[in-house]
Amino acid sequence: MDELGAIQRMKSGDIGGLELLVTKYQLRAVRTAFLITRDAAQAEDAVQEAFLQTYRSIRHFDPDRPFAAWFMRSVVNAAVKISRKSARHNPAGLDPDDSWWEGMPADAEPVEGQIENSEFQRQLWESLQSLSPHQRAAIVQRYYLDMSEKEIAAELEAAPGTVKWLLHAARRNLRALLSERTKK
Amino acid sequence: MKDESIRKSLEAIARQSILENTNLWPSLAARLERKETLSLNIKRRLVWTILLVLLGLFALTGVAYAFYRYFNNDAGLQSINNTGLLATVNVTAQPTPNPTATPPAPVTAIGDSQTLAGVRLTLDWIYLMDGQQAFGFSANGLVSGKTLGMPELSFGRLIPDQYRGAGLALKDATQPVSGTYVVNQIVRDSASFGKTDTRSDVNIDIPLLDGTGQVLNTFRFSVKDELIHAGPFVGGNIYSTTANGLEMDLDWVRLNSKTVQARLCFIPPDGKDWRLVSPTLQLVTDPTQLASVTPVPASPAMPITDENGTRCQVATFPVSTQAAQIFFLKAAKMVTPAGETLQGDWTFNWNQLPGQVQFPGIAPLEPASLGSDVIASDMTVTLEKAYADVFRMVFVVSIKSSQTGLVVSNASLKDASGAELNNGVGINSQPDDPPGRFTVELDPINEFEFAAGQFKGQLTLDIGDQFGNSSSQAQAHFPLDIPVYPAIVFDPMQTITANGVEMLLQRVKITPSFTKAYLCFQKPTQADWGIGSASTLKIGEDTGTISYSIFLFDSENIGNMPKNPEPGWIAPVQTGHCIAAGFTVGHHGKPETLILNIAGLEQSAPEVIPADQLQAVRQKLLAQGIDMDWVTSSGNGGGGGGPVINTKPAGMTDEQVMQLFYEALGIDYPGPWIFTVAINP
Repeated sequence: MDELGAIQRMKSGDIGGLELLVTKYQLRAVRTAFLITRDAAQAEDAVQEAFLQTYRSIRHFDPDRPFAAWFMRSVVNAAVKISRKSARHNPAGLDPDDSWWEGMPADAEPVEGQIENSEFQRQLWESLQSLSPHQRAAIVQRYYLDMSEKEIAAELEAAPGTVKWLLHAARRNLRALLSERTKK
Repeated sequence: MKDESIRKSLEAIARQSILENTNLWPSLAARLERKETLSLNIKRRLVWTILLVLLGLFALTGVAYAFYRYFNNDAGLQSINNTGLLATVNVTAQPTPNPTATPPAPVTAIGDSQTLAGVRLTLDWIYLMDGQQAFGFSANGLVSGKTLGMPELSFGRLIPDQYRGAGLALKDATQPVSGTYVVNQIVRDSASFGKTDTRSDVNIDIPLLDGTGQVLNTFRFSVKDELIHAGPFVGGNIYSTTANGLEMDLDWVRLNSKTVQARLCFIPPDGKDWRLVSPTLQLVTDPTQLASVTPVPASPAMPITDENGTRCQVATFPVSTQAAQIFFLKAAKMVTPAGETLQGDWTFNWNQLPGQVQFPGIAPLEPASLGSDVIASDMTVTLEKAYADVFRMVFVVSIKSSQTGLVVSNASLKDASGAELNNGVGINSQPDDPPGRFTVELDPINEFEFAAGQFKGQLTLDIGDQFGNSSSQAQAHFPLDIPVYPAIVFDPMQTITANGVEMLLQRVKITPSFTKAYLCFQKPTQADWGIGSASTLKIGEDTGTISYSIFLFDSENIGNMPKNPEPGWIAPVQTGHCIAAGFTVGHHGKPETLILNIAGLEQSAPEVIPADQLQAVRQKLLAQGIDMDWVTSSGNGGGGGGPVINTKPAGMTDEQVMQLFYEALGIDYPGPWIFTVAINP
């Protein structure tokens, strides 16, 4: 069964169609959600919500559109929503999960490069924490999902100018935060 | 800072944190089983309200329901019953009780007491699931206006996620006062989740208030190293509603013998000083009462708090709640001091009022009217009648028992080799059926699963009570050896043009109970067009409605098309869109005329409509005297979206309003395409 077949099965009410889509998209989706929520359990919850939403609304899905973009939009929205709710109910300043950092693997790079990259990654990770969930989502869509500003605007149903501004603000904040951390 | 560095770093972080072996399917499938009943896209407010309430009750009782469908509009089923094709079988079985799983025991008795300002408060028990937490308490000395405010729970180093509303119920009409607090949120140790049990300290703060609502002191209880049981999301309560683009959250509710308080939160649009005006509340014990109970408006004073750009207001309703099971809150209007008005339809159903929730291990607070969950030993199940064709199997079964209220809660089919067949299930009692009789329909995922000829296999019926802890407490098994009627196949290849769109009726397949029609048409625009839900099929004197539509071919999406959408079917067109539509009417074994009426083409109604598009449609409809909103809701266990009709011209039906709405939205394309075919089975 291919992706379109799975979608058609879901459209006719067959849950079995969803399993293929879960298998195909779950890893990318959970990683995307993790970059926004910064918590693995929350990321899994967000992606489960997105799959459930997909199952509920699949009959509204136009098969002419790419499924991946449609679905990842749900993932991003669910992750932002969870992040917003968590921010509202969590005491400020508590980081839900920084344990990923321990045991960062060594890629096939020279030692200096690894250290340099690892340091940059740590700074980036910490800086992302200071952005709002929406700004984090914009960064993740632009750089992790590799979406253009126009695509982000289409998926967010926002004006391109709004996305440009959102990304600009996110990048500016990120740059300032990274610069500040580098000085320390 | 280079873009490529960010890209690579994000990739590395994500890869390190989320491992390749991530598998969401087991837990997702389990959740889907429950969520399926909550997947709503309801077109009328009352239906929506009642369904949500009912579904919430199902969630409340933990019952996983099969889809119950009404067959009294099913001409094909009536026909096979009248002609005797629904053959008498009369085989009786003694069901086998299912093994009873040991229920989790997430309740811990505590019994700690504290005395502050003359009030002695005892924490009686706590209930800890990772999706819902609760505690119960009793208090002596809550007199002279003293009362308790909204508690706060914390869990040591664990930070709760996904807050989905909380409720406090105080039974304070008599002394000692007792109370229950319930909060829906996730409490998990993300580092060890799925590997080991989560344990945590639990801290409970309960403010003691004076008669003016000021905090006199705070009771603090601490319970050490409690096990937090893994469990499903429970509930059915709506905690968030978006109407016309504005999301509103129901943060908490607080109930006592005289009032209900509800805290509503929203982000004021455009940063203006928006305030809620007169939300209303209905409290009922049964969802059918909702239509007749007058909504009670909130008291005018609704204190405001602003925090991090979010505004919250506490509405107080002067109503008693002691016996109510269900709560329906609606906010419809916001204003600014400058006189601006914003209207919407923010509604919240709660079917799990905290004072009514029964936790395992805690004695019911009120006498329960729910049915027993023990299957009586004298039960027998009889398979009275059976029918099968390549499109569906139908069974009439009856349950006899000294225990009332038993239902067929699910059904499944195995072939002669013992392999379970993949099919949908519909279960219903016909209006004139005696108690305990049910009609069970099994629909194959594709028609080739029920091959014409003779079917040998086994039917399994799950039996449960309506409000037990499990939908399947016993199983009855019936060996089957029944004929499967074939479909007759015609290829009319008839073309009709209407409203500039050409449509081809390529093929029809007809059994005594069902018809499948294969249609191809040119889409009016490049969108997801299908045939309209008002389409009908008439054979002889019987008329059937559309049961389903399966997408087969689309020339604009040829690259992604399945190579063989249905064995034996080849697209008869080079360009266009082809579907197969099923209708609940069949042939009568004699020469007849078939009339297929495709009233129009439709796109699926979107669950979320962009705000600008919605505004344009609303303006168009207002000019025709129609005021309506589009609402989406999120709840513990589900949600949905749909229109709400506020006002309409006298004499206009809801269906007519919806038709105008969909036309204004551009997702309806009128026909009709009417095909007339002589058939001779």
